[in-house]
Amino acid sequence: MSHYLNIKTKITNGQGLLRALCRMQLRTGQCTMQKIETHEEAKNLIGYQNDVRNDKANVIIRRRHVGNASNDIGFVKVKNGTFESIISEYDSTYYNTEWQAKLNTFYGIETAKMAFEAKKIPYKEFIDPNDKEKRVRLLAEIN
Amino acid sequence: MGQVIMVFDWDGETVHKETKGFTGKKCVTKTKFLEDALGTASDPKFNSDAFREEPKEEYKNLN
Repeated sequence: MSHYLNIKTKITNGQGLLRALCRMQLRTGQCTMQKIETHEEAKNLIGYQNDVRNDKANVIIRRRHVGNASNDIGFVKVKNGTFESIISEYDSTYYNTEWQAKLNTFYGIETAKMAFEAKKIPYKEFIDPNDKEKRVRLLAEIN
Repeated sequence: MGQVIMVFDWDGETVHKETKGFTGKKCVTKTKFLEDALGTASDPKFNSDAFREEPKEEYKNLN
């Protein structure tokens, strides 16, 4: 028997978020784990004038990695368990809804990969050359 | 052994999950961990013939 369904993703897994960020391009170059701070207790973001902002986040990319004259970017874990992004208006020209949608997509991919890895199920990540949208696919065989 | 394929839309929120080759409801039970990891799933739609490539034996015999 076969079945199909759709899943609506929400960013709830911190490790999945970190892995997704590491697939993203920042204005200063490729994001890496070394460019990301993680805090159990949310810390204040810093603004472009080195000012301490009221916004606090658990996952932070400091402004030197975000771009020239930029503010820190943060992700804060809110009460319902999801991470919400904190991106200043200035920085949202580059880190716009398209950038964030891409991040969310990579979050889904990386979180699914983590789920396979936790169960020691081998998987293959690929893009179907016939798919005009070049969507990422994961394929696995399960006993 | 069954297969699962996941397709990730670039809208940032939709993931399509499709299974094939499982016996009975194992297609659901063996792959539910993916929905649990990712978020909220729609109701599954079942199709026992969705991935059949060869015609059924009884139809073959009609030719």
